[in-house]
Amino acid sequence: MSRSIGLWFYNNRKIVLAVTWRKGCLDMRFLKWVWVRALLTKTFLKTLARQLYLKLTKFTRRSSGAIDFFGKFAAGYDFVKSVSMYNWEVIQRSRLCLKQLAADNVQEVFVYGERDVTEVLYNLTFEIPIKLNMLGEHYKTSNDVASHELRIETGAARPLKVIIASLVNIEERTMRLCEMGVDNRRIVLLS
Amino acid sequence: MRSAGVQISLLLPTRGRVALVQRLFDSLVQTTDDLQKLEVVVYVDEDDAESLKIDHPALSLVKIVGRAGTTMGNMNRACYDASHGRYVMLINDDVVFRTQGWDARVREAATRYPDDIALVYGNDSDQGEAVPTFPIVSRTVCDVLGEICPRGYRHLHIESHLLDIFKQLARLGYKRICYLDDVIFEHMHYVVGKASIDLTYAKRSQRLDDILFIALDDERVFKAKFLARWIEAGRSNCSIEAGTQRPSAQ
Repeated sequence: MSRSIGLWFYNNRKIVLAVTWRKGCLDMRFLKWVWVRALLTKTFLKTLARQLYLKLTKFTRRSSGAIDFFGKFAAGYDFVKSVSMYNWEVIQRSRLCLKQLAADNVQEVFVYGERDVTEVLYNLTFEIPIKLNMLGEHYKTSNDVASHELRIETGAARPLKVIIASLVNIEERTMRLCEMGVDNRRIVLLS
Repeated sequence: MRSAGVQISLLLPTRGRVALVQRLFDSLVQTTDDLQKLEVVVYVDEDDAESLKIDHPALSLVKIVGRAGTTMGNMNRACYDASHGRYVMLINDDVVFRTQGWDARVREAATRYPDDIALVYGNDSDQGEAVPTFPIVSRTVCDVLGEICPRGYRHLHIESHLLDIFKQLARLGYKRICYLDDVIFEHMHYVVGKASIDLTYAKRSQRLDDILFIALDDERVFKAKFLARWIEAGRSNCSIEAGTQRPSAQ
């Protein structure tokens, strides 16, 4: 016996999440739904914190022509709003990309791109089961390649699709993959 | 056009600012010790009829005509590809060279680093040491990095990108940032009241550049490692992967 206990809104579409009670246990789909959103929220906040840190430490600022406190506050707010919208866009497009791949019966892909976007894709695979193989650059020492990453050349060795995990710098990443021998038709963009 | 013997190439993307470019050229003629060793590579948009006529009898000019709306990164790369100098300097049309013999000072500073791995910059009379507004790097640096700058930057952060790579390099033990406080390349920017706002200033939307700068953070760490390895290995021991100009993986 099932009973509907929740209503959620997602992407301007009303969807009914039927949480079913089976043999005294919550339906795994609901737990998965909660788990994926918890992971995405964690990644979103972590990414935002990193972006703010870089803004404060690495962006060059004009010393003269000083902006007043409220000007700085407005600029800071504008920055947080912009990067938050960007991060949200990353999640939406990543979900759409994986759904399309799943609809095409793709079960395994390579991912090449930004760390934060890769993490979003990874989180989403708990909901959309596609195996991700991370591709990373390597520079002389093995320390440069994280343990979960494959060398970028591997992308050319197997005929899997390659997702470029980024919404910026796509042209250069595409060129880099083509340089490594990846067929252009295998490259999948989030945009 | 003469290319043999060019030591410094100035890379200058410009649009709709012919008067500013002429002011810049005049300042160059007045302050450069050896004009024979200087070239200016100008990038102009194909629909910018006025800028297409830019010329100066005393300067060696290379003119590149490209489509309008190209990113600053791509324009600088096109200028770099057409340049011949051992050192390249990224400039804007709103700079005025103030220091007599600036070219000799830059060459002297750059040759302190025999492997050519250094970021040299002067005082822009605004942000000073904090920002290399008009960065100068050698062709070797660009070869090792594989580029002078990423293609994607639309307007901003190219200098911050280079500075960050060299700051990372300093963290790896190689201090290669050389600031010349008394060499003035005055930035006549409207924000500091040295110009009035025009279309070039007004159209800037910096958020995409902000996001790209953040997205390339990891890449800058790796680029700094390239440079460090180049310094460590020396030119003779550092092989180059075909087409990528990267130190070899072993």
